[in-house]
Amino acid sequence: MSVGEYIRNSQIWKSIFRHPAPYDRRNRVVVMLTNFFLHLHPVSIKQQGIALSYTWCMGGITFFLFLVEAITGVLLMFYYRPTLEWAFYDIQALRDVQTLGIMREIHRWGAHAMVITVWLHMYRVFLTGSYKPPREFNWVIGVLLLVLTLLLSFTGYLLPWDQLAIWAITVGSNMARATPVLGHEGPGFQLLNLGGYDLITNASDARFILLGGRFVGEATLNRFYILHCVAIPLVVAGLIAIHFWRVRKDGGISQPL
Amino acid sequence: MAKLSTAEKIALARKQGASGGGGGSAPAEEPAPAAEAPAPAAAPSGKKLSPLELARQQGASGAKAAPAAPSGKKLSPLELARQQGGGAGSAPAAAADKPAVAKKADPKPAVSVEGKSVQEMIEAARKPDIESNKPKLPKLPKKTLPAARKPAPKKKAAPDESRRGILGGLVITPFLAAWGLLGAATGAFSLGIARFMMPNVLVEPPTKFKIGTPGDFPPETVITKFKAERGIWVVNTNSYNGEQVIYALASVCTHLGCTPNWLEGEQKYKCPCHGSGFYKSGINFEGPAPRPLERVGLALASDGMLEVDKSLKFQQEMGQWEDGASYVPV
Repeated sequence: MSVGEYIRNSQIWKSIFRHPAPYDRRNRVVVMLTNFFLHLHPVSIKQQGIALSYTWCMGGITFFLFLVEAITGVLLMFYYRPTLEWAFYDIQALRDVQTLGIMREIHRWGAHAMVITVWLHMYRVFLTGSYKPPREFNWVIGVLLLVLTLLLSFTGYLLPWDQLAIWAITVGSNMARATPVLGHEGPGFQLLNLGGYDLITNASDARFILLGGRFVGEATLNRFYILHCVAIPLVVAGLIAIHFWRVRKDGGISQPL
Repeated sequence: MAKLSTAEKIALARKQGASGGGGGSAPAEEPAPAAEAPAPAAAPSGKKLSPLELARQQGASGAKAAPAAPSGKKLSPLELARQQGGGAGSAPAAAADKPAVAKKADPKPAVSVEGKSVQEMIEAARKPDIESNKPKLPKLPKKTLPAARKPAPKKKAAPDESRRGILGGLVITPFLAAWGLLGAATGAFSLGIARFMMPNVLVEPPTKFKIGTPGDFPPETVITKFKAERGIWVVNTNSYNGEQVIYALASVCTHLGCTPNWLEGEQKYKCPCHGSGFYKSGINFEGPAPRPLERVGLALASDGMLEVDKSLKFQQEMGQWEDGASYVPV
């Protein structure tokens, strides 16, 4: 009995891989369907389904970049403290002191690239008409993912806590002042009042909730850190799962008719 | 092939039932009897038509709808050709050349050739078409649909019904109540979360603070020492409307909210973000800023100190700089 045979006959191996190697057509299907990681991919796809000229693989590249961001992001969290005292210097230390601190640059450039590929993916889906029934719900999921990708970029932008970051978020969040009804400078904010006393002020409106204060400060840094590292990625991961599942259920990857 | 609705299939099947029952061995060219026999119960559910029957039927009505569809049966080229011949003239003979295609022969060309819409074809198929079809064959005995197996259930007595109503109420009311409670709890929870996200303690400077006596602010100067901590410039000038007054300008650019700098040498506020410029009075004169800087509240407190109230703001373009709470005369 060779070593390979011994391993393949061991209980450990067999408890993980429930089926023998995919040596024939039926087993190929069975192996794909009984393995969690393999079942993410269809058993078979049409040859045109992998034609790069049609899909540009933009969705796949976007997902790859999401994984890059997730992995490098988790690693960066070990060296970053979201406080006024440390945020800026921790980022500097990643660049100047920490071995492989270049991970932070990968994270940043990957984020830029992901925004670009998400747009290109949307552009491709539009050009090929892949948003049409029965895929219209998946288009909506995709739009949500686009918005969340932009929000991930926006919240991550504040974390270096340099002048660029602070003023970018100040300017960006000023738009929230003009939120209809819920922004203290927006149309209809007077609608929410109790006996002539406005409920929506600069200390109770949408911007205030977003920033955790009346201007960009330490509370904002902490909020954006949590949004960037926990809240939005969780939602994005869930929506990505639905997005992929819907692709499979709506006829697989789109391809030339 | 135009899709046929159930009703159309029934109509076809009826025709077929009438002719097929009457004389299965009749030659294909012979028009089928037009009599409308009531459909046998099984017919709509997919009785297969023999090509012969189909052809007859087709010939009788003259309708050009591709006949193969209801049964999905393959026709031999011969049958097809006969069928086509039976119908009025201009059907494409090509169908006979391609027997394999016959099954899914596309009716659209035929339709367009004859100028018949699908609707017309359906009507043609439904019409008894008595004129062209003389009933040479005996009529089928009328078949009736099999009677329902069980007699109709007797109407229940009134007490039962009211009991059922009570039971339904017993089931549905708690159901609705449960959903209502769930909705209300979710709503309350969401409101609670929104409130939770509003901090009660802010690590921010207070909005009302004293900055000194009027004498601390000499004429025609811009005091910048409060900018970093409090976000205001204190200005003593007569350059706005000739009146010598002290007022506090918010150091927030009216373009996008950056903080401009006071340039003593050029006597102007200059925003580093996009180049907006403001005169000493706060009036905008260059760059993208659309309106003057805003004043915040300023008053002389009872102890002779100037007190700033940042919760008030006064916009020049809205005439609010005339408000006495926006400046202190020297």
